[in-house]
Amino acid sequence: MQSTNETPQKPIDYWQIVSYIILGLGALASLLPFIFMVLSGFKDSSELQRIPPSLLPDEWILDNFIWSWDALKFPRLFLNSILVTSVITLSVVYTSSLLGYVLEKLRFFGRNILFFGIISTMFVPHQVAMVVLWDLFNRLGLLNTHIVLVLPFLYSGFGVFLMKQAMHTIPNELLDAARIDGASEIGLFHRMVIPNIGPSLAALAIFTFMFNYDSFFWPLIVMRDFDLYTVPLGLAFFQGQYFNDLGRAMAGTTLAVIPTLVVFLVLQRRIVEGVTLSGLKG
Amino acid sequence: MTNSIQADVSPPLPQVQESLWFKIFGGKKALLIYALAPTIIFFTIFWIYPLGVGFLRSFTNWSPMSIHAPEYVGFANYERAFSDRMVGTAIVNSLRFAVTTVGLRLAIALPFAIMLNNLRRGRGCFRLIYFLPVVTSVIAAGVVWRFLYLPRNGILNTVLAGIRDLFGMNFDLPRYLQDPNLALLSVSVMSVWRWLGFAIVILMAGLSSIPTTFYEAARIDGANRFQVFRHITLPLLRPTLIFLLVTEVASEIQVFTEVFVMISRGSGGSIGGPANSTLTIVGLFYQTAFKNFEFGYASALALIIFVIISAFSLFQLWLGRRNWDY
Amino acid sequence: MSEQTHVSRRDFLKLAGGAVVAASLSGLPLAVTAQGDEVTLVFWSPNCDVECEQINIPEWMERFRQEVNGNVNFELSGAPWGDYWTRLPLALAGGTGPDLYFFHANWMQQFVDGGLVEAWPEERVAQLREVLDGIDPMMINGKLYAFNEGLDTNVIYYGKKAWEDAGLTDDDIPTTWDELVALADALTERDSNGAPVRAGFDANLRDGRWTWVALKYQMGEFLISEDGRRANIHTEGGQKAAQMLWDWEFGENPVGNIDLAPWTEDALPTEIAAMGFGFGWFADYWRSDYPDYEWGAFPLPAVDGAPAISKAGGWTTMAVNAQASDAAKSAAFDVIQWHGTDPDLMRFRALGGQVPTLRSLREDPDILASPVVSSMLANIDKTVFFGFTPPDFESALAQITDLMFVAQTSTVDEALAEAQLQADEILARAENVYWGFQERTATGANEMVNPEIVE
Repeated sequence: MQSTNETPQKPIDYWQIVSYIILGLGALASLLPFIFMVLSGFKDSSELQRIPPSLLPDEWILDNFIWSWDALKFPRLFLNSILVTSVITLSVVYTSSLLGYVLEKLRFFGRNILFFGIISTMFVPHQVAMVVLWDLFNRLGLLNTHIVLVLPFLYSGFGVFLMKQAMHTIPNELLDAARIDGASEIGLFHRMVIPNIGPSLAALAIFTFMFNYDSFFWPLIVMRDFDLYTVPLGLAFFQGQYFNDLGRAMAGTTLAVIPTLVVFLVLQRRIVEGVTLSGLKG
Repeated sequence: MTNSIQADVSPPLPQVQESLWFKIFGGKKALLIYALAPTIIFFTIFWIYPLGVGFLRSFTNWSPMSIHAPEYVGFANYERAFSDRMVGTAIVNSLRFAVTTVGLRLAIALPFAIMLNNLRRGRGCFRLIYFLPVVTSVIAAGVVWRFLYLPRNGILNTVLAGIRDLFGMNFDLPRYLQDPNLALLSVSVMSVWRWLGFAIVILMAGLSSIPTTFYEAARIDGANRFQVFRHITLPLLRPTLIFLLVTEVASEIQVFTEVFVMISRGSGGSIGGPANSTLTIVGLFYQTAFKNFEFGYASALALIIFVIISAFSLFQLWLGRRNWDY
Repeated sequence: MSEQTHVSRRDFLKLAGGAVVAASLSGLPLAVTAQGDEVTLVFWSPNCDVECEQINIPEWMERFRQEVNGNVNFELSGAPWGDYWTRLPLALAGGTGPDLYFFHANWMQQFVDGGLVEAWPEERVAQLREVLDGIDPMMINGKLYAFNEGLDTNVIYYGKKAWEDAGLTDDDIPTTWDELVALADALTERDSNGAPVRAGFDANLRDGRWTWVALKYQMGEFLISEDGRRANIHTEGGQKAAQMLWDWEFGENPVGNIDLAPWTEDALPTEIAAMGFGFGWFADYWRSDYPDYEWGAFPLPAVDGAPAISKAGGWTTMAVNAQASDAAKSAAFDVIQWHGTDPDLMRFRALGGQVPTLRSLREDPDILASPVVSSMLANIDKTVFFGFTPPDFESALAQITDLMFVAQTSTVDEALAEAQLQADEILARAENVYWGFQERTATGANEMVNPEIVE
């Protein structure tokens, strides 16, 4: 870019080359742990104890993967996670857009206080409520059920904030036209509002799903039964039991990571867009 | 109540809407009740009730493992918290972790985002690779890094030992997760790695919203790269940076899972790692509440966490309002 | 998760006693009369929802009904091990707990403070004393809440292969630490830099507090002050004990390396260590997880003239819910008393790696034939029980070896001073004291001292 305009053909852009080198090294650093993880899964335990460690397995063995698949009960963990996270995501998307709409388009007594109260939960660490909630659920006999994993997360302060912003884009004229056509207010929301905020909804859904899929602290304290565990919990439990066995731990971790990576690769454009959108709105 | 409900524009209602059904279920009042009633119930049960009860119980010796009712103990729990060295250690560790992690991450993410943004080809590919760790489960990432960090046969030390022997140097290999001076930093590095892509994506979005005319104008003025960065990119990116800073610090200060997974819980079965060097506030809270079941004391700790995090967030927001000189 | 309990899942494996089932029905237990109305006891024991960890439970329940009291019915259930210790106290406190439950002494302080456990009636305590050893150290303020069915202390294990490769025989079994270290030096394999690649002696430093406690008792010092409000950690004996560990790891000829081996119970069978400091349950763990490992055991070596040799631990029996009905309480005590004094059940239990408390079994040939139990028996009268401390106290003890060997940042004195500070805070904070006084009931107590703390 520092070149003068006199040179007719494009000069070699050294900045580009330097950029490629640095970014390439960064990419390698990003990928290296994954490579290590996958390769270690194929090694047997004596090879993993070796000092210095080998790069490629002497012999590619599948035992660790077979063993981990059984021990981790992976399909079950995955289903549990999908179930819990989907319910949370659907609820957050719906409740957030409903509240976002009401808070943005209707005027009513206490609107600002309500909005402020909901937003403030974004900044309050969950731990403040956990002891009392845990005790409440314990008394109700609800601990160790998926209900407890879902209930406290049906609303999201962040979601309401994001959706209220999104409602700016819906013109009042559109709503009024529908009202004249005889739509009820609730019907209006479902038929006119929701279809018009598609991208924002998708962004919120992706964001909510991503964060809740990886949720750990609350499941850790309320869940006890391995059959009901979500992926992070199962994986943590698994590594706690077998962390001395590197091969099994790496194979189990690889298995747990694969579905997420596949979903990411398929949806990556949407996911990155979603993150961008939610980040910018914040 | 009726008077206070108004749409921004209220057109006259046509005849069809005069039915009883519509009067009850079709109006704005119905929508308000439909939207707000569950919301109020939810926030009452899951926020107001726990916060209120938690506050009151923080003045008792509440334990779910006792048949005796909680007894009022005055400020004893708070006195214990302020005299307990663990609490101080945990607060300092959490703050250090948040500042180090977010600082390192943004320091790397910003130049990377700028480079990526200027890239002619392969932008999407790099972005994909950097984003890969973000979607990896934190537990999986922790398990893998734990093994990278093994003191004797971990990859990092193998490489280091190779370099050492190659140049005939003589130094002790680091014990990343065992050495109290390194343990927290080692966890930080993992966290930097994991969320780097997230910061890059958001910064790239911020960068692309800066109009290219600004850069063109600067070029015509003969500004060099650093000047462009200093006087155009940085100021215009400020809102994005502040957003990242505030949200990331608020979340990193609550670090728990990374430490839980990466640091072996020590022989005492307590979390916190070597010489309590990785004991964080949330870790301490977890230990008190859900391992020792000292609910009264844990409630006091939770409130202290709340105050610290809010104070820190407010401080940053205030900092963000100050003008940077440019 | 299993970390949420004070006793690891692995410790517990010994209680399962392997796969041997005490099938023989010989000899009547201590007379307990069969009488009264029908009573149903709700009984919780770990993992009984699926299959009890102590696999012989259904059998002895049936035996109890046949031999002692057919009017007692059992309703058996129980969460998995890790979860058991959360659910049990919460259920007991919430009024939905079992009448009779499997118990562990590590929870004594919380259960007694919380009012969750019923004390034994005095006349029964007298009956127990007649046939059982070790009742006194279990008494708290004149009350007994649970007694030990088996005792546990430390032994040294060695790999037969490593031992034979080095040309060693049973005659080489060391009786002092100096002899042991000389032997360990010969068994250590080192790389070109002098760092061990196979430990001659693994002092269990990942959980080194118990090695330190054993050595400290050998110095003739009590661990806790008489009133229970101070720990005696940073003392002359404490320094000597820690220095011994230090020399083994960092001395001129180190015989172990903490980064080399995982837990000792895994290091020994994988031949990363030739000898190791261990507990009775190792043997049982190896039987299930490393069946090919050939090992031997010998009693813990001692410094000359030591009044005490190691710490005593115990495996308690079941306990009774303080809120159960009177009929249920009485029936539950019948069950525990019968169980704890039945020779067959107790022999079965001892063979899992515990020293029996039932006096009649101390001479039992089967039990004496077990290398672990006989090694522990050799020292058992010279062991010390320090009481039912708060769980955090053991974490404070862990600081000593964590700081010295895991973190490797502290000197002997710094580590001891830190542990001293933490332990004192914990002991001073507790409402009631259930510890310390038990040390004074040890056999060698009159030769032991309450030492000066280094300031």
